[in-house]
Amino acid sequence: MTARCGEARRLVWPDENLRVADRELVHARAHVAQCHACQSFLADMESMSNLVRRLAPRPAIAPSLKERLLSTVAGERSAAARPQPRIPHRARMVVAGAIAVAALILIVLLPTYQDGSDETWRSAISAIVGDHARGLHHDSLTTSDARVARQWLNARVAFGVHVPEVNGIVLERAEICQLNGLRACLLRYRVDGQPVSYYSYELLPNEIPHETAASAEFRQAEEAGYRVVAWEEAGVLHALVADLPADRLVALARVCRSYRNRG
Amino acid sequence: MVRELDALYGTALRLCGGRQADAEDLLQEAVLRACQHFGELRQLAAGRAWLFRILTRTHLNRVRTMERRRETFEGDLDEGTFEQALAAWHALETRDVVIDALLQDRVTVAVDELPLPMREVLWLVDVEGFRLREVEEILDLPAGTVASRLYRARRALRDTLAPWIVMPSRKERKEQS
Repeated sequence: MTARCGEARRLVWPDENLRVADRELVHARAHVAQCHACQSFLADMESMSNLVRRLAPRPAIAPSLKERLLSTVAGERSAAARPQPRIPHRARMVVAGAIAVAALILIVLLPTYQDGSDETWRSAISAIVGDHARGLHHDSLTTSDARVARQWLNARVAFGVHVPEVNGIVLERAEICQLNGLRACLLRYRVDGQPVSYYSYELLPNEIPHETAASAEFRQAEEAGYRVVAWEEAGVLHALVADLPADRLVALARVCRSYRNRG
Repeated sequence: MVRELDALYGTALRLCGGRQADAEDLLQEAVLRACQHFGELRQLAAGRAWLFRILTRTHLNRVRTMERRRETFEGDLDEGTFEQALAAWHALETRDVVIDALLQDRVTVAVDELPLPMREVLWLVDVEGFRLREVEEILDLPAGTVASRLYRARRALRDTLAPWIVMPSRKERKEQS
């Protein structure tokens, strides 16, 4: 054994060190070729390697574990096969956050929205028909003068009241009543010999219907034998109630609405 | 990957020092990682080394979690010391009798008793047949470190197994070659 044995062995074992210059490798190989100790070293290393390779335990994987792993692989493959949005991670997080906020808003506002549409209409129409059917006399002013009736009503409610004056329609009385706990205006008319009640009252902010273009037309209903035509305008709910044909009541409603807009 | 499951399991078992439950957990985690990071595999030909790299990395992470393992194996040799160690190798003696079945158990125990840095290198090179450069990449070790760890692992094994080892005589080696 010489002083060069260590260096030569480092250069040629276990793989020839390809990082060093060819000249060094040539010298190392030349040394090993002449050095029995180095040859023995390399042979022993190979023998040890063979021994470990031959005797090292190579347990087969248990079938249950293999099955578990294969299902893991299959699960990951199917997850990877699902189409993924080509959106950066940060953008996905932002979108997910926005969706969550939107969902939260919807959850909070949905009851309000529903109250402001179908539920508001149902509740109002039901109260109006009930009041009209009972025919109770409230705080009232008996007058056929629309101007007097308007002044009287405007002094009692917070929203602007218009009293339509239409040929062939007779105003009999102005009243203040309570509908669903809110102060409402009531104009009693007689049309074609039939009593017609014109109710109006200011909706609470969360009751204002979110009308679409399609639903901006009149709401019509029939309850307890009375026909109702209702509409909402500037946060005020208006309704005509009578035992009249639908087209006649709708025509009256149009007159009332146009009159109000004109006024 | 399926083809390599047995080899991966065998390696996991040795990395875990023969503890079967730990090896199964390790393999499960490594397989999951391999699936999740399959897109990062640039060359299918390097897939085997890539799998073993994931396995050893996963194991290292698990070990680090349990005990903050130091990055450098404290016994790593510098180049000069390594050359001295290489030069100090005492040639094996030949013996006549050995029973492989008994030796197999002793090899298993001896391998499992090696410190992890030696054990993983020995296993990857001698049992799984990776070349040094591949092991350097799998274990993310600098050049030369794998060789010194392999050498020390074999020397430790030789010392442990010497009473039972049968090495071919020079005459037999010549005949074999």
